[in-house]
Amino acid sequence: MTVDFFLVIQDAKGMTSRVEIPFPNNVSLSALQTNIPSIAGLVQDLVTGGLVGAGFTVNIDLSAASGDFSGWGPVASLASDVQEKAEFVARTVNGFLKRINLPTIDEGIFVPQSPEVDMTDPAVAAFVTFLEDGIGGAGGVFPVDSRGEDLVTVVEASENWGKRRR
Amino acid sequence: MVTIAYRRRVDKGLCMARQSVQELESAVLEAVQELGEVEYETLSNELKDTGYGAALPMLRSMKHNGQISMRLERGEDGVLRHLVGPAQGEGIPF
Repeated sequence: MTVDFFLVIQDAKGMTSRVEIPFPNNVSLSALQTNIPSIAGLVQDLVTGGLVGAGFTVNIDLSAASGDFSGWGPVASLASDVQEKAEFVARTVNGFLKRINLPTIDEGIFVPQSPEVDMTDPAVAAFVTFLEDGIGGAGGVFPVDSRGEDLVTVVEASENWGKRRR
Repeated sequence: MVTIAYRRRVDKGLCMARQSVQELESAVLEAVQELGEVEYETLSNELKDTGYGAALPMLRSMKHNGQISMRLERGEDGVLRHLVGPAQGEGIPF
């Protein structure tokens, strides 16, 4: 059992898509809530869409985009499209794969003339470190897969154009 | 003859690659020793400015090998920082 943290991303056409990142069931909900701006910031740096919501047990309205949530919000770039995704594939400590798709991905994060995500891009590198090692320090949070297994290594990240979710 | 020539080319390529990797790793290790723990972007710019930008894709494998540390930490000011620095704790010798 895990606590599924999710972000809702909206594109320029108003279509939305969800990104889910599991955390162990013993994760501190207050720590998770504290880190929502940080996790959302990591994702916002990679996508062109707007983050319009986040939640786990309790839905949180991020549309106000104020206070801790300032600096990112439901302002979608005109070029954003929820069908344009990048898939990050991480391997767990016991070898299972966890796939996380980010919709409305910023095409600037791809290696030119390649479907591969540029892992040296500072925004990508930060997101990859988040998946592998979580956010440390007091009140840290550490993502896992749906079995609750720690994500150890991001093995691949590439384009994954797909169907939109409603 | 074809096989030998092929092997020579492969050996030459592998040798050059190994030398290049060592040079790039040394550049990263020197940079983190000199700068200490800094934000990823600072190290990234330092490596690019000194002509070792090709070392950037190696940072993650160096982290997994225990040669350097990479971590995300939320400061008291609430700002999330992606820090890279010297290895912390025991790593796997490369």
